[in-house]
Amino acid sequence: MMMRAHYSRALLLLTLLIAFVAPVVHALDEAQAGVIDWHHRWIGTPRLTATPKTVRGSPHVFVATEKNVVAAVRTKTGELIWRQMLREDEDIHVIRPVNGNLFVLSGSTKTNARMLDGKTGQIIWDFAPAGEPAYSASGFGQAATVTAEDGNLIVINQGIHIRKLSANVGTPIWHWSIEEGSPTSFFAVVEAKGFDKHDSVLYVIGLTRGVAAFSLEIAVLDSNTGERIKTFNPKSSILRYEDVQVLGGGSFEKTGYVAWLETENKQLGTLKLGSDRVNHQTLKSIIDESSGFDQIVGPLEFEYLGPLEGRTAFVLSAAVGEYHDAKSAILLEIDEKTSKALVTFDFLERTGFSVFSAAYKPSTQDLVILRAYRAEVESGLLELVDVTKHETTMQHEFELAHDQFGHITSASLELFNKGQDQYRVSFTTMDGSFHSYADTERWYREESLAYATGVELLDLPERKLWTQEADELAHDAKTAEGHLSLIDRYTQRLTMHLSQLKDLPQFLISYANPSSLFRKAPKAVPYSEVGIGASNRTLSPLYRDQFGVRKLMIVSTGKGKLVAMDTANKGQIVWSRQFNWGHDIKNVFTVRPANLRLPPLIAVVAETGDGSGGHMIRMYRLNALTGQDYESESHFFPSSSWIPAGYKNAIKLPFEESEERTQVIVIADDRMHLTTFPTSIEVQEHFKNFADNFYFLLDKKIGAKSLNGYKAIVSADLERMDIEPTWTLNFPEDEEIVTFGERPNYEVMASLGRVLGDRGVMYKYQNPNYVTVITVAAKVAVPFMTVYLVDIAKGSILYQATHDNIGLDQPILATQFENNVVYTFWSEGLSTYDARGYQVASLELYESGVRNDRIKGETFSSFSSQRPHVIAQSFPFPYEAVAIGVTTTKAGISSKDLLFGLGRDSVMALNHRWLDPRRPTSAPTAMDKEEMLVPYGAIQEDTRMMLSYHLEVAGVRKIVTAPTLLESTSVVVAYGHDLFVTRHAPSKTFDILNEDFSKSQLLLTIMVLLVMLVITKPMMDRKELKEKWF
Amino acid sequence: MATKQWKFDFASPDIPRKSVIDPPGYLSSKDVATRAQKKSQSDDDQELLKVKKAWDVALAPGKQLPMQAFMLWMSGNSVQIFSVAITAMLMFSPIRAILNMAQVFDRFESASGVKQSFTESALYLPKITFIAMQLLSILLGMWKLNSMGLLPTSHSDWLAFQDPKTPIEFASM
Repeated sequence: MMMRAHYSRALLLLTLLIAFVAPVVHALDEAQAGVIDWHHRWIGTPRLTATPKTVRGSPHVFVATEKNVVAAVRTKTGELIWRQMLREDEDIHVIRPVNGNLFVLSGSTKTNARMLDGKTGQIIWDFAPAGEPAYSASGFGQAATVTAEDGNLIVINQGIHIRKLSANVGTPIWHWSIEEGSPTSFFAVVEAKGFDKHDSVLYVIGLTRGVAAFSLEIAVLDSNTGERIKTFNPKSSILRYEDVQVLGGGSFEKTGYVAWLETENKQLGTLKLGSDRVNHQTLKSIIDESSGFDQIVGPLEFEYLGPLEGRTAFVLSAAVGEYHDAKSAILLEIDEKTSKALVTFDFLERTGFSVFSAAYKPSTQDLVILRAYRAEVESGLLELVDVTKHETTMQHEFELAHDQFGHITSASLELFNKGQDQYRVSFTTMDGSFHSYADTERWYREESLAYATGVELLDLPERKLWTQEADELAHDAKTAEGHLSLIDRYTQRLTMHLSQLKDLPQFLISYANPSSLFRKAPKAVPYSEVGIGASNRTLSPLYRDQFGVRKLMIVSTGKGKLVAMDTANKGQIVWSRQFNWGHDIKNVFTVRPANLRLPPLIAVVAETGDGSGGHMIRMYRLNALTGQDYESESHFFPSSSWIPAGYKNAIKLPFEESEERTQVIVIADDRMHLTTFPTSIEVQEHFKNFADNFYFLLDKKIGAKSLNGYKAIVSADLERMDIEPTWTLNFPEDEEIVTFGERPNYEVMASLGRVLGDRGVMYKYQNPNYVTVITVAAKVAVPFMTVYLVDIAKGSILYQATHDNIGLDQPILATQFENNVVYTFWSEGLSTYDARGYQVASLELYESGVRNDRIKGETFSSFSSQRPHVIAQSFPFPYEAVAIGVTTTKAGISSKDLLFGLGRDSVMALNHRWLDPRRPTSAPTAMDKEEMLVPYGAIQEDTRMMLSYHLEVAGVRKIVTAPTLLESTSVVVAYGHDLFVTRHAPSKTFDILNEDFSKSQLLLTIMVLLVMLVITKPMMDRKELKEKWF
Repeated sequence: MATKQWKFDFASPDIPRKSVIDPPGYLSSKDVATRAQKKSQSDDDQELLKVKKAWDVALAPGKQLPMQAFMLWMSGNSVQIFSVAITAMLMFSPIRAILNMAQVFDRFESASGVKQSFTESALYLPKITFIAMQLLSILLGMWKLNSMGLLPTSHSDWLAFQDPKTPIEFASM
């Protein structure tokens, strides 16, 4: 702290001078776009895949993802062609390619049926039936199919509405529905061969809720008018709609079938559509057909093979073996004559979580079934089975690292013919990523990044230091143990330096290389988010760059995966690591920075299930440069460890232990125990002393009505370290916590006070222990929000402010830094005449309201009686903010920019001086002018403030920043869905030369002067000599 | 004064030629010499004159003060090259003058080789006054520096040298 403070003093004057001279707003230079920043467009993990039917292979594949994004992905490269982000509550039920376009049925409380242009993603038509939710009471009931007859769409919604929509304009041609609240929900529709005199009929398959189970109901509709012709109610007892498969059909010529599993009766039912005759087969007879089912442990289930009309083959599978990871499967086909299902192929037992998909061969229309599973720790396996030939036609093993991707969760097969039959498999893995595999082309999209929940920015080691140490260590193993005497060490260092001398000429040449002088400013190169994980790429070694702008960005994701990316190389993935089986990653801490001779370390704290309904805290120590477990000789530093209890909180403590030089972490669990990491005696002793003044919160629960403070209790013999509640803060009735103010990870206060116009000082309130808590009372006539600044050491409210009549559906965000708090909300106005809109409010906390008044003392205690003097002001804000952050710089001297992620999919930087609560609301006085306060006004819309220029940075949830070695510059990372990383200099880059500074010109001038000197010096000498003669 | 003399004194070019009248406006060198002799005879007068001259020199900076004050006022209170240059001049030239005081007053020192203590010296008061006058102009410069805000007299000037408070408690969310 002291060091930083001195450093800051030295820079202060210069910086302030330049900061004030620099213009207030400066936009990104056009040439810099895409050079210093990068942007990854993510879509989330695909849930539904649809490939347009082609012969020569589709150029794009349509996907609908868990995050409700519809997108078209280029099949060759994996790049995004377009994406449409639907609302968070707008679940996608069906996607169907229709003549090169894409039909999408989506919604939850409302329903939208849309046709999107296949090339651009633009909406061609949108049909939204008024007041019709998408979900039925049973939770299913959406389907869509394209009729072979006229190419129009049959759409089922809410389980009760069946419509024929015109594929061209989206108007309903007919609408048939059963009354709402009926026990029947329809969920599938198929166009198939009619019966009696009815030729063009549609079979709508539904389930009717009975006492114990569902039973099938099949309605037959006239395809042209939508009138019901007949209803079949075959005898059946079905538990879930996934246990029903509709087979065959696809045109009026083909017979349709339904197959279903009756789990309770242990039988398989089949039925020819248009008849009442049900065939039952016992499951036992099916199981006995295959030796693979010898060790069956799970129930038989249908494998979903994709939206594929007309097939009569289906796959039944079950988990086998004691570890539940092996799966046996068999292929069944409906016999046309008897309508019975016959086993025609045995897929046998395979470990590694098989998934299935099917497609037709474009040349012969033969059905081919894909089975994809993990074969080895490092590889996956694809098996193609030709249904007509009843044989495995291809087996292909491919690289798929288990610790990066986990198992395959779903697959989709596409067959095409380019002179010969080829295949392409798209599949998703447990980590959420989306892969595509074909003979020659292979790519994957690291979609786990769309679920980013946290980002830790790590400085890279300095090249010189690192190699030097490594070289010396390599010389002699003894060095590592530190047994060398001082002289030995010195000679070793000397010899090493001497040996390095041979590189000197080369170094000088490279330094004097004229081409480096005339190098143009770096140009933006095209990049995409797909290339970041390519396995054949060459990674530049992980060293810090000159200004420390290059960092390792460790992203923790909601999928239980850690992804380390290189911020300088467009986010190239350095390593990634998948923690399987529901790891909920809670914290990633840098416990040892890179500037020591030991590699940087991160600690990962995650919560998992313990297999019996309970929770377990798991903790890992990884080498931050490789992602591998970090093994240490000391048994106090296991690379992974666990606590058999649920997670409450994990805190990085401000001291380090001496053995491995890592910072100590303390984990609080739901047994109200504390565990330090490492657990060595030294650490526990230290923690015991530390615990006297250590206070913390346990759960930062949104929606809570109170806030609780806790303290550590360490017994004298270090046997027990427990948590003791110290205070409770109950908020008034109706109020619930909506947000906490986030503090930046790194913070240095350069100046202890604020200088006023008359050179007086307002001293900043230096309490590091206050937290901003915002509550909302929503269930009152006029909803209001209250901002509390709570000292979490003693649990007292330092300040509170209430805003009446706020907008409840709008985001409320808060951030705090130094002695400032900034929060945003929507104001409905206090009267009908007031303007409504977003407001951003700013608080500044001072020790005293009187100038030049500083509270004496060298220490600050939360338990002293002093309260801050708070200056507050709010400003109308032109945008919807969905994320908030603040820039951090090395010494904290540069001015601060507030960073906002906006609802309009961009990232904005706003200088803090615009949010200064001391901006004069009347005509500025001489003192105000001296202080350079801008008169009060609304925050203006200004596109120059957009850090993301024209990029569509979707779904930003959080913004984190990290300092660089340049005081002016801060690295900004916006994440949540898309990933956007840039550099930002709030006070402009005053500490580096401008990019257009002409070094060549300077050098040229010097050269010319030197030459002139060389020429003129003898001339002058001669002249002087001559003058002496006369 | 001029009586008959029978010898020539070659040491003095005075030629007693009473017969020839000097041309109008001519002053014989002897006359001048005699007059000078007359003056040099009164040493006390000489000393007084020196002291008087010394007083003139000592008071000269004081006479400049109003002019300098006017210039400072004209240059304004903003920190610019002009005002800074003037103020710097105002600060440094008195110091230089004080350092060079011995030279300035050298020609007014009494010729007698007797060492006198400073207080006994006749130039004692003028010298003190001289220093006082120079200090006055330094003060004027100080006042100017202050009004330009360049003197570290306010809290803000010492802000960077204050140490932050160490928090006793460590609290974490």
